[in-house]
Amino acid sequence: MKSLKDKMYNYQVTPPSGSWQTIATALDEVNSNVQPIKKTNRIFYLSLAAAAVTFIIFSVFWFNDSGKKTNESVVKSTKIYRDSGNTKSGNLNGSDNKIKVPETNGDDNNLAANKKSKSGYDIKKYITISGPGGQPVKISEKVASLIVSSDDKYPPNTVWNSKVNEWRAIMKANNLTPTTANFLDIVELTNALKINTP
Amino acid sequence: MNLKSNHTINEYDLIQGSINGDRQIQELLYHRFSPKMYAVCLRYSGNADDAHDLLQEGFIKVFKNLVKFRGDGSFEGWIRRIFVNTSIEHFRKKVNMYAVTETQEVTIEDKELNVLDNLAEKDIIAMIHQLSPGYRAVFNLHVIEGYSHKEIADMLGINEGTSKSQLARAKAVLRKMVENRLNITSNTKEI
Repeated sequence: MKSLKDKMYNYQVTPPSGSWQTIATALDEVNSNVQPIKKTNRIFYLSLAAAAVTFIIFSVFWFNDSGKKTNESVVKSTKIYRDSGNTKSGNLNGSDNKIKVPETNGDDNNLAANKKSKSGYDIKKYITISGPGGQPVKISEKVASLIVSSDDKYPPNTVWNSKVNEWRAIMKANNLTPTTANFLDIVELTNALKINTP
Repeated sequence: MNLKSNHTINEYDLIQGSINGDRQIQELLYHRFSPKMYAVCLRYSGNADDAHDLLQEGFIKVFKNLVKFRGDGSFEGWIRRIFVNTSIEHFRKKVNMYAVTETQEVTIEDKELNVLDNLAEKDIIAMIHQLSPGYRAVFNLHVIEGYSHKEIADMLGINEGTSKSQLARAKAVLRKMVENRLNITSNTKEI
């Protein structure tokens, strides 16, 4: 004797005739109603996705391109160097012993004001100066400002050398170990001690 | 081709053909599983008309969702689950089961239903039809399908205690029906 569960679980009853026809008709209706909507939706979403991808690609190229152009314009723009307080234009020459400060904006020579290009894209500005052997050396605008403004006497290179010698002396005399992070702190601390010592 | 007697096509082809919208294959699938599923519908519904509606709704769901069948379990089990869920949806739309307190549960004696083993399936279905919808649903889910009381509670939106007490009451009612039936039979024999 089969248990109640087995008996009822496997029990079979033939459904009324015509059931399949009703189901088939219902399936036809479902297919005719659903398929066109699905196709339209698919095309719509695919178009939307394609447009989004195209927009992103163009944006990436556009910003990269404009960024490069701006950077180039910074480096290749007219060079201005300070000569005893007078500003005049000239070209990069390793032998003239002068620091060239690039002009990023024709109307405004203030470097700090030019941190962003017209498009608002952040640019890393570097200034090319003549090194000791005449070779071009890139320095940041902050260091350039420091060198130019540290002493108006000509030539600034001497000022630079004396400044470096002064810093070297400070570092030699100091117990602290200089690193790139604390270098200027040590210099400032030593200067402050010198000023405040009676 | 005699579709109703054709059982040579394998399950995979039956599924793929139905997904592709082949109406003949879909009909084959229907004829292969409809007798068992119609029995499921009869057990859960109160009458043959409701069972017929459930059968149609269930098969439409099967064909619409066939693409989601991953082949993890048996195909018949998957179809059966759709029919059980469809039946439960109907039940939940129509019936609000009342909560049974714990004191009521304790007083209900839960005996086995061995008396039903001797009856024919058709007679058992007729008795199940006489149960209230709540008793019927819990009895089918627990005794026939093998769901736990916790699963039944989740499916029907009731608590576990209610499921247990509904089952005990359903069994008591069925036992009473069988006893009455046996008494009637013995009385008839004596006459």
